[in-house]
Amino acid sequence: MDQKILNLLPKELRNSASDFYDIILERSLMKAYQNLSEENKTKMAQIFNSGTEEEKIDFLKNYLGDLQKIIAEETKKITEEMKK
Amino acid sequence: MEKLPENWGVGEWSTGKNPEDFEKLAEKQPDKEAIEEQNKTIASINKHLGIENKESTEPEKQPEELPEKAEEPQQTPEQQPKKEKTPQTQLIQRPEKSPENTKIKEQLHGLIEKAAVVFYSKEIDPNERIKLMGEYSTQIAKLLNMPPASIYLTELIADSKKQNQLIDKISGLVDKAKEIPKPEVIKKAAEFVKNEEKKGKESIFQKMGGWNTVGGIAGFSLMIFLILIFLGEFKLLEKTTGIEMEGGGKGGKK
Repeated sequence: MDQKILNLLPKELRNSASDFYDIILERSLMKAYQNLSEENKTKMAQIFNSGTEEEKIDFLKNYLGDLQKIIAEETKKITEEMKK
Repeated sequence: MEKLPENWGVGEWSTGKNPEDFEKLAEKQPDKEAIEEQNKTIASINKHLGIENKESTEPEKQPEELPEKAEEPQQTPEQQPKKEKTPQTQLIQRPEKSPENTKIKEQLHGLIEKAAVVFYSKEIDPNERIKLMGEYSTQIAKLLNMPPASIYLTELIADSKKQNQLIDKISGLVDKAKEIPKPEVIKKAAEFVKNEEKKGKESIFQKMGGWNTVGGIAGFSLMIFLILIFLGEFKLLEKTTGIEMEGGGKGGKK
């Protein structure tokens, strides 16, 4: 997460906020990944193993373009889970 | 001409010119020019915070210029005159009672409340919701770019009990998340996204015109929004207008 945002929080909360963001990001990527075809899953693995930065960005833009929408949905789900 | 603190951008404020630097400066023994420069800066910040400067304009007297004191009887703490506040102590003391500070808090809470309504609405189209969230987060980010906001936000999150509950819940989520097997590519993609975000303006995301194709939200704004929603959701941001907060913050209990 952007350090500038973390610096807005009290020190005690910074690690937790960072963990919170990591969980949201991984869950969102996982959800987006599950929506990919088998062919694109293989392509993603190849690119993130040995591709260039440009190839990685292109993949995110072209195949995971709705990741931000998924992030928002996952945040909602996680906050609901945490309230239980 | 050097910019005043109230005109500093986020980057300038958070990279070397933040209140912690003033604390470090205070530990050193700077020369006279440095002290004057520092006092000018602090006075300017205090002016921005609406704190009256009580700093004397008289030059500091050197020890040899001071009149010789006759031996005085030792005073009890009650008899001792109260010390004048230095600009440094004024800065550390709670500035949030200034009308400007209260206004910022009210605006912040108002925006979070509005954004939360949009965030949880089932009737708004998901794409429209993302767009609206982007607009609110941009406004929140703009508000937080004001230099004193970092002080305010830290002091707003004042309930240590709630903080600990939240930390425990997040730890539970982290443990749970670790148990779920994930393909290696997810870990690599997450690392890549995080590393790129850390680069800020140098990020390839930015150079390629942003990676988000939905809603046009910058990652920075979205993350501010998520964190604020997350804080608001757990009521860590206290309703501050007219309500005294307990514990936490640099000032401790009120």
